[in-house]
Amino acid sequence: MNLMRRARATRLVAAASSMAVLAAALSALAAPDAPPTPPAPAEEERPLEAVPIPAAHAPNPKLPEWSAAPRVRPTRRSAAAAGCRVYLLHDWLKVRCTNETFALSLLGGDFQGVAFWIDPVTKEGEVLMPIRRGDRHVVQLWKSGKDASGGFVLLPSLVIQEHWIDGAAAPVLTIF
Amino acid sequence: MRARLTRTLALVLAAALVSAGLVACSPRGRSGEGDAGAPVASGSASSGPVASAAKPPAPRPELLSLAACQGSVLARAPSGDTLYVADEDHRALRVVALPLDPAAKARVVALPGAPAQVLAFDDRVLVTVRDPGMLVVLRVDAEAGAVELGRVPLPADAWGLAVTPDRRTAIVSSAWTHQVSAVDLAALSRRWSVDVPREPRGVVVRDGSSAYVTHLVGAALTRLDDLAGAAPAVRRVDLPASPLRAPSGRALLASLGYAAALSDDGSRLFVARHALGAMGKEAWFGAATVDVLLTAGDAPLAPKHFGRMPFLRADKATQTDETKLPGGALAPFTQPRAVVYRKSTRTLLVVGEGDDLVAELDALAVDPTLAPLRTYPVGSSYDPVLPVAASCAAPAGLALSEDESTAWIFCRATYDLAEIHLDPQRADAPYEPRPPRVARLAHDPEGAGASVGRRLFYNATDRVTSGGVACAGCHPEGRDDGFVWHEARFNSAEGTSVNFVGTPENVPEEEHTRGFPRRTPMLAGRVASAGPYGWHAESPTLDDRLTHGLALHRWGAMPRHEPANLAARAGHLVTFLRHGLVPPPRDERPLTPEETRGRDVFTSDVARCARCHVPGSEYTDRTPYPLQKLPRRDDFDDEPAKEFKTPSLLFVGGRAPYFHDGSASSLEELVERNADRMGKTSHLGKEERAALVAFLRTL
Repeated sequence: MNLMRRARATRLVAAASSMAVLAAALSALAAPDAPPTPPAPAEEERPLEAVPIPAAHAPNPKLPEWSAAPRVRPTRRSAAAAGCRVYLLHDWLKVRCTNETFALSLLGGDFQGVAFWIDPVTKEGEVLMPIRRGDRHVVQLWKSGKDASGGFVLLPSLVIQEHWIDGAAAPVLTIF
Repeated sequence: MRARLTRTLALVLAAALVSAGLVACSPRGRSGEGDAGAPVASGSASSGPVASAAKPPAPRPELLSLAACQGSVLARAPSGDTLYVADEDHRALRVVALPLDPAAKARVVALPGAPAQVLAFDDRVLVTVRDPGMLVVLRVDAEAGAVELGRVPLPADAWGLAVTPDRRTAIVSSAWTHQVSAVDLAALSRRWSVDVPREPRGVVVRDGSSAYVTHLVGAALTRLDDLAGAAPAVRRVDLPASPLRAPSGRALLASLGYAAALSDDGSRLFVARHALGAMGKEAWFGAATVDVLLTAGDAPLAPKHFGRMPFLRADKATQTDETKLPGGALAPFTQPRAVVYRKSTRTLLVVGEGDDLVAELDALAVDPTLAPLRTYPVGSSYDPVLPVAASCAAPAGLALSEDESTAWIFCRATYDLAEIHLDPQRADAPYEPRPPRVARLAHDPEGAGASVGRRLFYNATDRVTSGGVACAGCHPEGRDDGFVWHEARFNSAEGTSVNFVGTPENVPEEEHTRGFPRRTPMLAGRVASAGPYGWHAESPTLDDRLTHGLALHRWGAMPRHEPANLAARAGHLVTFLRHGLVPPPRDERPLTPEETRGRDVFTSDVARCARCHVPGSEYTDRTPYPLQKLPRRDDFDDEPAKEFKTPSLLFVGGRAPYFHDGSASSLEELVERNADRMGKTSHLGKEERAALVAFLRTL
């Protein structure tokens, strides 16, 4: 219970135990401390591969910009990821999942620009990352659970995988 | 009018096809026409093309699809009305009519040896035969199923098979003799053979000029270029296994690289195998994986894993080791044996030998094992006492229907053919699972006792026999994975126990143990002796070795079990190990002068090799001796034991690395480093050492 209260009290937090994590934290701090309001559910998703992504690198978008970002459809997602919405702005991607999220970790890929956020109220998880040619990003989302003796444990929730192969026309984003 | 025009066009087309020599490419029922001629009876010792095969069909303008270029343990005829199954244990090609009728009897074409893979295109059926090594070329025949056109002798243990899209060349791997050969399919002759690393298996032709070869041992692939030339360029392609489950910054080795598949555009190569030491919950042995190679630059798709990466936790706690790794199940399949790319859904179908299932994975993902779409169980009728499948155990290969809605799977431990209906993977087409339709093609040639042992040997779900990976996971086909395991004592939730682990990182860090090095021994053809067994001769019999050894091959302690049932498992396994496993092929020929000289050195009173490696008893006296300790290897603890049982030297030439710690990568290195540690070899000159090595390779 205490853990859950602490979770509710959590605002923008990024672990800073290394330079890599520090970079992520700084990147996250550049963003506002509240999530942008997602567009109305009725908003149409465009296929990710159908949306042009500029080659020029843009700075991490600010909150007002995200509120106007178009929704895109991942290349593939499982039924468990049906609650995930993906937004694309310039060469930045934001994935917000309504699934209860207790932790997020980058399993592999370039950490530059990657930032995580957990909504203290809704417990929704959010991942912000650049989406550029040559990219690889694999992110694990975790939820809270109980082990056999009733103790708190982290349980795997979703895996977000993004890559953009050099020479490919568009990136690939899968959420399972 | 239209009908007449159509008929005329058909006649013109038929004439054109005949003039282009394409009659032979039409499916089935052409016996007596074109190159049908007199078929060569199976078992004939003829080599090279028979007269009727001397006029192969002229090349067709169209190319085979990449999927159609690849062999497997079973293949669907292009006509869609037949399956061909390479039934290794019965030394036969089974010709199964489609639609599958479990009550119908399949036609059987006897082969001159045990087949490994089959490939069907046009009206041709190609089969690799392991011993004697050869490629058998057959033609579809309505009555017999297939009739032989010719045989092409190849290096022994011919296994993997692919053809170039232009149908001109077959590429064949020879596993034990570690060679890859090209066969000119028009002339039915071998064009070249090249040496490659240990245990080449799956062959995938990317285009007419290049091919990839997977290996049962090691993570690297072999790439061959200039296939049409007199000798191909051979190079190694690094593809670390399951990088997201690797210890921080490290690359994992692999085993069980039986198969790979290309995406339809050839841009990605999917290699299904086992990542040795991959990390995860209770992953003592590692994890099954599908690693993706981008063929444009021969680079892995998955990024390396590093321990310090961005992490966020709602309670602000710091990151734990477990959250640095994928959190889901280790893999949705165990002991991958085959992989097929499903073009219509952009998915992969991976055959899990250990858990009797087919897993469907997202082929678009960086790591497909983290994106499972569905699993299709094929095994059934599990025994309540020894929980192995009585139906469709140990699936080994898969073929797809033309529309990719159906898959057929051959199960090597029960000789069943299963038909499964695949998920269309479309939101508008809900999937209703159905039990597989199963046809039994044959019974176990070794009888009931070996049959249970065979199923236990491949089964990874019986927690008493194996802790998540079967005997066949480390001893593929009874051979070895070439890996040096860590025999470590550590605590788990079940108390303190001694287990094998793939890397020290598989053990909880607080245990501060790295384990002692233990190289996987080869079993096939080397377990006939009454005993003793074990590195230190600690097990008087093979049954005893198994009952004690099974406790090592898991995470933690042996689960609760009835001792009688454990003994029964060991008994069945012993029967299979001794009678069901097939030893590697042996080159039966007189020794060369160099080998003879090496034998003289081996048996000499000065070198004294034969005093312990007794020729009359599998080149071992099965006695432990104190030996000078080998230097401690990095990543392992110092070995306290000095006494090691004399190991058998049977098949020693094909199972590097050597010593219990795998520290000698070749026989040359072993002899070079030996000095007088075993027997006395320090006095040998360069030529005598080479002769000794040459003789050892013949054992």
